[in-house]
Amino acid sequence: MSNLLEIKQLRTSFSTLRGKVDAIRGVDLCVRENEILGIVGESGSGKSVTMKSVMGLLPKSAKVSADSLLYKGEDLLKKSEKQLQKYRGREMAMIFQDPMTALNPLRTIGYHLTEVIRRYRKVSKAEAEKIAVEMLRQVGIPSPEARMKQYPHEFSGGMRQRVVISMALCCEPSLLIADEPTTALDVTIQAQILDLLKQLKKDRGMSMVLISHDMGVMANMCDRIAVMYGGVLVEEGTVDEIFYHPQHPYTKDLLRSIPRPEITRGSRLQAIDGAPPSLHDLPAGCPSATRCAHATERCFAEMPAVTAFSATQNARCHLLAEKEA
Amino acid sequence: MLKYLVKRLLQAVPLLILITMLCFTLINLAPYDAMDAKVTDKMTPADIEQMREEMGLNDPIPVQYLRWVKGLLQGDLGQSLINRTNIATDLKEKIPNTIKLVLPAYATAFLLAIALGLIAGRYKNTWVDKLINSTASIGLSVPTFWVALLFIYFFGLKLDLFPVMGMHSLGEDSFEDFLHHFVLPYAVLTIGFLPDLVRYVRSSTVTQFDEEYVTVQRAFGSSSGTILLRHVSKNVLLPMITKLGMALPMLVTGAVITETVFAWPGIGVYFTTAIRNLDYPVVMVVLVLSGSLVILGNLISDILCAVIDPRIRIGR
Repeated sequence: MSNLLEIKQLRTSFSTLRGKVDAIRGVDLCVRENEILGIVGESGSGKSVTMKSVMGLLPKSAKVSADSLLYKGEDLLKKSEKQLQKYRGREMAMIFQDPMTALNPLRTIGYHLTEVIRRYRKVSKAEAEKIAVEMLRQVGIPSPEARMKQYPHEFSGGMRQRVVISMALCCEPSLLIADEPTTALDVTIQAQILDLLKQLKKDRGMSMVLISHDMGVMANMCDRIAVMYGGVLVEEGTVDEIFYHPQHPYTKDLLRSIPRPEITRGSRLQAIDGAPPSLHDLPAGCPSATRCAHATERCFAEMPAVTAFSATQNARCHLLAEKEA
Repeated sequence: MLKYLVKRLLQAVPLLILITMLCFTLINLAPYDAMDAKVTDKMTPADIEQMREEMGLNDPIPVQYLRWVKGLLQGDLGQSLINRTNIATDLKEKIPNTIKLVLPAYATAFLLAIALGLIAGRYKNTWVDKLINSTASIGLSVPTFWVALLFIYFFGLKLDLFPVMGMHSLGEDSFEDFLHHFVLPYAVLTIGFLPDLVRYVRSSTVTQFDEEYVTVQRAFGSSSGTILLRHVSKNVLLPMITKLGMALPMLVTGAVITETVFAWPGIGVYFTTAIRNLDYPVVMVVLVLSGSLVILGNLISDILCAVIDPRIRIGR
């Protein structure tokens, strides 16, 4: 499998009133063809910012730099805003966390879809409408013809997320980035949307990046998983490696904190002690040192290097590096 | 829709009654009455008392109020105490003059504000935005009459380009003559309306650009121009419709100061003269009229909003 997207040393910072904030501090990541890559991490760990940096969707206050940002072999960093715009939608599309605010309240669903369709295909309005109806049917919206004329407020959250997904499908992208696509939805709808995404990936052979903080969703959906913390990638591996042989202490903590049905009444949920570091005041060393039971002095002083455990799994931890050596 | 309309119209009735009551009570609380305008040196106290009786001024206030409202309902707005002219006839002559001035000025300001506001909001924090926004802020804090005086001084007096008083030269009735007189007050009034509207459109545009749907549109390859024209502008224009309805009373009272400065023969001059001369029937009628227009304007903007905004479409 070749790499569709290859990120080398991505760094993103924001200039804020309280000074420069380093949100992403050197992330290496790749997305292969026809796979689902999961990015997991707590709020503020940089999951969304990483992918928004790639898409060029961050506000002007953000500064994105990287050694390279290769998409299908082309460096996105060398593209102008106009050229990047051609990539968005057609090559890589993104769907977002909150479907309630993702659509323009004053435009019909049909308008949203046909606008996107006609941007990429030279078709008449009537043809675009036909395609749009077909897309809505594909994402499981009942009586799509009638739904075309309706406005976003007449749709439920799950249905709106389906609409956004169908917008993405209209673009026929090679890479779909789903940024917590089910976080705002209730559990039954969550499962439906995730199944839909999985099905679409299978049918169309597109790659997907799924951003979530839900380990259960990850296990279910992904081929590979990247764990982010404090703006760096702490561990990366296949689903089996991450779930059965986690290496990084933070990954282990994360897995331990998944609520399990077999936990008996009265026992406490396992939480990770402490809070993620503030991006305004990042520690010099390992970002997870303050919450790590095994942390040594070195962990606080120095950012660990990446240690590889297999062709697919690697982690960023001093202790692991020492053990391997 | 029809049900909604009828409901809203019925709701307006008590408000209208309240407005007439308020106007009437306030004017009656003032320490003078119609007699003060009519009394001459030659009248004896007995004469005055007889006149009061004839005019019904000795009746209890509620009776007087009902008589007045009955007149209003029958289209009899009363007489000016000073000129003895019929107020309705006066208004029929003055209001069109005011509209001729306010309508073009407001329309110009409205359209200009939409363009400038959208541009400023779209290019937030660039020099274009800073120029537009700071000019609007200055404009907002400058009183209209001062701008009017400046215009009179420079364009009227120094450069002698335009006349500075009235709507027509004596004996002239041509459209060119009207336009010539129209330019200065029109410009002043447009400048007066503009800053508030520009800032409104700008802040509304800025808010809309922060909305999630804009990011989504960008993620699907829309250019910022497309987003502005096809998505943001519609969301910005919706609240502007409300503004439009609210501006209805301006057609009557929107240019009182400008009209006065330029001696434009509209409601403004009529109204201020009436106030100065304690011509209370005129004052009351103008107050009731502009109050009613506020209600009507609100009603119209609500209806327009309901027609345009799919979220509040009624009766479906």
